[in-house]
Amino acid sequence: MNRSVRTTLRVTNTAIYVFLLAPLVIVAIASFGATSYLRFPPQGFTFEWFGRALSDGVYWSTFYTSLWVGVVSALAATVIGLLAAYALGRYRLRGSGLIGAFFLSPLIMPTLVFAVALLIFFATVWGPPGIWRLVAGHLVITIPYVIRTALPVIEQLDASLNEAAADLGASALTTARTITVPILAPTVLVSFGLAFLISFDELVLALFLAPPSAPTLPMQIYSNVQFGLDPTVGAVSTMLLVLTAAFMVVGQLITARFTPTVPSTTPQED
Amino acid sequence: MSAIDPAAPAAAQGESPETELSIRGVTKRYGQVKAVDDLTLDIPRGSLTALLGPSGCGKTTTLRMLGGFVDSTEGQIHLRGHDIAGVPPHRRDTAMVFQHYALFPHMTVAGNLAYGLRRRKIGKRDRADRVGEMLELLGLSHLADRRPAALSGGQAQRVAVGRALILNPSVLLLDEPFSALDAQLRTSTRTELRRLQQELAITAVFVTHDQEEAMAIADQVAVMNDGRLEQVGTPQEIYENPATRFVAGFIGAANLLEGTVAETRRDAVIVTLSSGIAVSGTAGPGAVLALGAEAVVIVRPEDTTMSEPGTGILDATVETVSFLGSASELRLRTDDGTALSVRGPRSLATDHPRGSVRAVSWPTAATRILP
Repeated sequence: MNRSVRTTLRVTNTAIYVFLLAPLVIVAIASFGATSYLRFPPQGFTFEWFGRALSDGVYWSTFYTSLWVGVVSALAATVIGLLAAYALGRYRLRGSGLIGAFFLSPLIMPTLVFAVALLIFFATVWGPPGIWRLVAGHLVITIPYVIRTALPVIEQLDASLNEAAADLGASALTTARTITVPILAPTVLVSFGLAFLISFDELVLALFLAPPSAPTLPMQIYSNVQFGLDPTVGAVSTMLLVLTAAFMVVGQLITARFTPTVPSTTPQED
Repeated sequence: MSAIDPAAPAAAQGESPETELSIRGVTKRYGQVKAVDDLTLDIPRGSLTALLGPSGCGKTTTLRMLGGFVDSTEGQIHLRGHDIAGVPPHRRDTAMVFQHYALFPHMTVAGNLAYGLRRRKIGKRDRADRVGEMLELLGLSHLADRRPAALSGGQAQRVAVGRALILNPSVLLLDEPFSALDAQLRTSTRTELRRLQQELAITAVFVTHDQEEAMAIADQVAVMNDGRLEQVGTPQEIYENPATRFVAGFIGAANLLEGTVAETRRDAVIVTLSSGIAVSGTAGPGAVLALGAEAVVIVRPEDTTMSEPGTGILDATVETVSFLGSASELRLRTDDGTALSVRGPRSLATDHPRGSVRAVSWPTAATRILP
């Protein structure tokens, strides 16, 4: 590659990373400031806002709501998305292109339009009670991510692996237990994690669908910043940042444990 | 090299005790398409048989029927005299090596080898012993803890063979076992497989589209085309006495000269080529050649010789000269447009430059005539 092109690329890459990460870094730094509103550069240094956020019952209750919605919708999305991806990836179905497009369509539909549509539908036709409306909404928007993550892996899952297992004496159930599930395990974990993270910080659907009695954490943060930059918001954001990072690291470690070792670049024939 | 026995021995009708697998009139239909059409073939015990043919000829379907992965529509398959129709893969005494090996990616080499033993509830110590023996036999002991992704193609192939052999099957089935390897490795790997097969005296059937591969290691080659068996025999038999035009063209290189039958004698057939030249040869195995019927004269390029124009069977002009290192190959064309290929020593390339006119000859004994 040309030297100047490489330099340009490197500069552009750095700029993009700075653009993406700078706000996060600034919020994290600002959350330690001693002023009663978020400012940068911060003045003074205090843990006070972290203490206040952690002792604030509203943050905790909204955190639990988000956690619950995230886990339930991610579980359901993982199960449904994996089954759909398995059917799409393994069998030649009539209209599988259409089915695939249908499952992926929430990716291209504006969330706002979808939120309004669901709200009207639930209000006029039928809707599940309370928080389940939000779970249903999150389910629809997270399934595409599960399918997108799982489909390539399932497509690569050689059908002859099942035949080889059968040839060696494994029943269908044993094959699933000893071959299919272990190979798909990292994908299942990644899909679940992705779906959970999307649901956990989703705001638009939550604003429309969550019952007033059970707001989610993003809703709480959103309402707190509407009346000025409450420094506890900065503290909560920082803690979420750390939690997410930890979540990703653990996920990486788990998938690395399951993934086959990297092929050696120079195979030795002895 | 010149076995001139056109009458191939008639296949035994009964199953001899030396027959491991007997395929009797097997047909496999997918809707209207006959993937395999009335195939009858005996596979002798302890032999290496190649199912050879172009893609889509039904060779893989045949192998999969032997393994129990595909049910036949008609006919029977006998393994040591027992009909094995409907018997699932793991209940029949066959083991399959898949085309891309199908090694379990999340298990080590030892884990892959032990998989079949585990399914058969073989105790831990016994299992370790047998895996150890197999690793030793295949020279893979130092790779026991590797994952398949960290193996070379040749190593992966050996693990796949070992995983199939560890259950001591009567018949080893291999689907294009060398196709995933690069050309250099292919030659050494096939010799290695042949050695192993002979050492263990196991019956093995492999599928290939590469005629050289089939000829190099198989005891018996079954040539298939369009779902049908074209010919079965030793590599030498099918090379020297091809039974059909397809076999003649598919196995090795051949000059196919079209003509009509002018005379049939007890020991020879005379064919008049379109150019009017009369050529004599031996009728191919089972060939029915009526006077005046169309026929094809088959001459192998390496059986031809070159001389001054007018002194051979026919004259032709040298069109291309290829020096191949150990040999030379010339392409010639006669005045009526028939192409001829001649193969000979290296000196051929220098002695017969492009554009020169030469006579081409071949011995009657090496000439086969087919309808």
